[in-house]
Amino acid sequence: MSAGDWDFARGAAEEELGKAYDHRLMVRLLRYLRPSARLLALATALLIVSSLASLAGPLLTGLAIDRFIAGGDARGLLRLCLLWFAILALTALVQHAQVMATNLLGQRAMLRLREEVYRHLQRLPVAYFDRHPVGRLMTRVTNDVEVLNQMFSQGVVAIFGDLFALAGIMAVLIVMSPPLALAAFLTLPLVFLISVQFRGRVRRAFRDIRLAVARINAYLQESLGGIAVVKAFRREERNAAEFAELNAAHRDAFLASVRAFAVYFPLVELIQAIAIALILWYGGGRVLAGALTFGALVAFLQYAGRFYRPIRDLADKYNILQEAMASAERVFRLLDTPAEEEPPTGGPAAAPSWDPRGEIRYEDVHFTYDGATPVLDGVTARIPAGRTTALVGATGSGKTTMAALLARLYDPTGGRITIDGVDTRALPRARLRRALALVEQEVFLFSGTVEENVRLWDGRVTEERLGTAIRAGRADRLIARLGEGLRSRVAERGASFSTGERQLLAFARALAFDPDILVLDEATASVDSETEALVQEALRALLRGRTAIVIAHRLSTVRDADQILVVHRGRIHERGSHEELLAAGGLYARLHRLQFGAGA
Amino acid sequence: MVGAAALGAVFLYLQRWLLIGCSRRIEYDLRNDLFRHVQRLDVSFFGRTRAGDLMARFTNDLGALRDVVGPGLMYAFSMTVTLALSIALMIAIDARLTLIAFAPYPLISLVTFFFSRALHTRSRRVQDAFGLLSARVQEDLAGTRVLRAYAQEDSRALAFRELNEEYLAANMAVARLRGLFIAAMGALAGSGLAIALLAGGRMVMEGRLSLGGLVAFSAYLAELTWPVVAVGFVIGMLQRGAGAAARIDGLLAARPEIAGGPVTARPRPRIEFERVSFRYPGARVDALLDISFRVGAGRTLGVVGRTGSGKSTLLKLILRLHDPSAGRILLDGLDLRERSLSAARAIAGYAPQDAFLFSRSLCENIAYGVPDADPDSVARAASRALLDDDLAHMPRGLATLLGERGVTLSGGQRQRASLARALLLEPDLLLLDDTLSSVDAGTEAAIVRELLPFMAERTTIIVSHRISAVQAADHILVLDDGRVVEEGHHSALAAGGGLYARLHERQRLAAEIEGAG
Repeated sequence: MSAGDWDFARGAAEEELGKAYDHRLMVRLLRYLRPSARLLALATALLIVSSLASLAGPLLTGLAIDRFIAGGDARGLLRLCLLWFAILALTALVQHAQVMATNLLGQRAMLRLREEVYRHLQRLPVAYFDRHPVGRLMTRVTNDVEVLNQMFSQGVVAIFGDLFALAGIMAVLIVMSPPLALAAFLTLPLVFLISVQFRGRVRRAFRDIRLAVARINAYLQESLGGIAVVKAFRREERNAAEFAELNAAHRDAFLASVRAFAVYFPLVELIQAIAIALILWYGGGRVLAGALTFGALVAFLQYAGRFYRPIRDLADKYNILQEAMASAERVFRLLDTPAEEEPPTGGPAAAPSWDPRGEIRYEDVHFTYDGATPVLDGVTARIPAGRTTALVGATGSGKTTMAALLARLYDPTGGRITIDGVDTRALPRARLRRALALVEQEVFLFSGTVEENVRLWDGRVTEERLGTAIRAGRADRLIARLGEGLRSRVAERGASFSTGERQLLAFARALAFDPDILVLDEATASVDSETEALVQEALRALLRGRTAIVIAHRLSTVRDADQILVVHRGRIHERGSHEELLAAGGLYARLHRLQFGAGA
Repeated sequence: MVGAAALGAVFLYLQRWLLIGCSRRIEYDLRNDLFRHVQRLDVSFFGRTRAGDLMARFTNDLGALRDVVGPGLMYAFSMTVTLALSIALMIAIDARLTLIAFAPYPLISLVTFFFSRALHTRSRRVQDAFGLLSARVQEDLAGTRVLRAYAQEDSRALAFRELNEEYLAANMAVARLRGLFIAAMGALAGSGLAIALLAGGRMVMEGRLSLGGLVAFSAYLAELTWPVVAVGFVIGMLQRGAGAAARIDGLLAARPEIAGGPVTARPRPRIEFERVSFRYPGARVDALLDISFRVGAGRTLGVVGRTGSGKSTLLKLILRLHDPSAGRILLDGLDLRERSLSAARAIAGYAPQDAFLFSRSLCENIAYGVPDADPDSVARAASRALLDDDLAHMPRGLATLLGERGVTLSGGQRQRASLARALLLEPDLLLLDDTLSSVDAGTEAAIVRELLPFMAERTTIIVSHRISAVQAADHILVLDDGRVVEEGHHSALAAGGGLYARLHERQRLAAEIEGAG
């Protein structure tokens, strides 16, 4: 076991860099530009104009020397310089517009892509989230899309710009003097070869740097997150050594890139100097021979100086493209993951008028999370409309799963669940879920305000209903205490609320949606006696006149229930009223003693 | 000319390699020092400081500092030389022309400086918007069950669009700035050349300047654009570097844990708490209040109580992850604070409640405290913690990789791995913090049986919410709300009518039902 061979964090950054251009991916990416087709046309036009305009300087200089300075035409020189100023001003305007257009193009495309990925994630089966950590999914929406944005705003369009500038310069040079142009082009293959070489090295170095940074971050996060263990096991020295190793890898990767740049830039400058010397030598001879004007030679030299930047930039763009392809691959793979299927529209209960009375039947329902261990093993039960049914059972007996299946967070692996005789799978999910409210044991609160957490941004929840729900759910006093009432801030994950307080807010949330069917997983955690009393009252308001399934942990809920189902090992083990089951002296009688204290 | 260019190229290479290379090495040393320092900070520091904030010091801030030392210094140096030489040569050609044509150039520096400053604040806005966006996505994915149960996916997607648009707006603000900068640079540098052509051209016509002189002058002027831009950039870089340095300084100024005297431990240590109270920094109530007890050499203490009763805090105090707010803890009769910081850590094997494992192989995790342990003893510790059956089902046995890229262990497996990690130390003092809470009752009983001979030779403190884990202990403390509410031997406590007896009865029934069916 050597200190260096852990290969954690690998994969986060180590996906092999693949092709810089993948036609299939590119075509799919370009589709996101389609809604901005006009903007794309505008950006391209602006790019062409600004590339052309930037070629004006040397040409004007040459002209000024040959025509006006040599001819002593001061007025002509002034006119020409004024023209130059005008062109400069125009170029500035066009360039600014072009940068804005290009960025807007990329940003809009990414806005669309980001939203599509987000919406797709919200439509993926809940089971998908059990297998994929949220942190990794999140980077699809954020980091990967960001890389693509770079490609759109700095890559694709800029490549056109570079190529265009290159072509423009070459065309001007050839028109001015074909033999001299040839002399200037002589060094181009060399620059290109060097750039390719350099590109390869920098690519490897950058990949190593990214990998090193990812590892450093992963290592930091873990060793600082687990600092108590690090200290208890006195790993500080050893961890510092491990960290130094990762840090050294980072430094070396960086040094490799520094060396590559340190060789490349001077080399290109040297070649450029050679090219200029070549032009000066050959062109100077031509000027002396009268075959070339002095001004043309000056213009030539100035153009030659601008030759290399586009070539250098092209090498950079290569990197951007390569990363973008890798990100596109990941994003599209996610988008291609099938979302939850919806039933074909127009089914028996799809009509908006569907108004369930709320009789629920579980018909031989089977379910497993992992494909092997059965969690529900043939549950058959009838939940009568308008009544309260309590589910009772040991931890892990399958109660919570029964609730999750009814709300179709998961679908049964066998059997079916019906509401008023209609298979829940024949209902559009949104319709089904509007008819029922699910209060889970662990209440999830969003960061934002209390009001947002109760009405959940739903416009159909009127002010009035909101107020009624809060009062009926006994959350009014809690909210009044919070200082800013409904506007009070809720921290991330509701950190500032106790379990009991969260329950009250969750009850208010359920009431605000006035569901036909209520599914309630009571919290077991002990709450203080004052809150406990409030929760009891709220519960009664909540259950009145609704079809309710309550996973009951409170004695009163169990006792008042119209029907009690005892769930044991994925099946319904006993059923009946409180008195009947107690009298039967079976599992319920024992559970009852366990949960509500001996002798209760 | 080619000779001069070649010489220039060599120097350019050396300059880049030496200066930038050097800055990378400085960055390396600083980052190592920072890590060593941060590791020595006490545990409560990590509770106070956001992880993301801390990591930013290690990456962004160090990077900004490195830029000052590397590229910052390099550009500062090269631009000074280039500027001085070019201007001198231009003045040699014609002083008046220099004055006229150079006029727009200081503007370039100024524009660059303001650009780089504005860019910094606007980039912040982009980063903030990005942070909000990420946080929202994370929250919505974590709360996806609620959003679905209430069919709020669409309304939430609309809210997401708002953030998405704000992010776009922030990005466009940066783009606008960049666009302005590029446009202004082109116009300013171009005007310099145009002015030179106009004024110089007239001078040529008047015979005060040669045509070659004008061309050379223009060439020098063109060369000046980059150094003048660099002046602005370097000033911006220095400003950011100063901010980064202040933040890194702030981190380095946080005082590390205080190390104490020498390590003098003997096997089977005695532990004593004398009226110990403890309150977490920033908390309103005491986690522990006036706790006194004694664990003799080689004895076993059991601690039970409900969640939040202060059981885990007790062990953390022994390990000096925190120090008591009042009272003292004695190890073999000597106050822990008078000993070396790691005195207790050196003799203790600790299995924490959350069973924190690292993203490395299972083997390396078990050998976390004994990195050069031989494979046999690692395997022995694993089988003591009853991991053998689980190992048989893992693709690569002990070499199986855990964490993000590897296998996710179940709660019970993690706890047993964490237990094996403590056992491998062959510690004199064994501290088990609700180590088997996620393990089923049968397995727990088997592990406890396995551990009994091991514990007989050691001083042990077992913290648990389960009676079964502590009932064999020599002495049991029952904690509630940070106080000792009952203590004694299992049989006496179980027969009494207190919290212990109630917990015992409930757990006995639970075990019965688990076996029923």
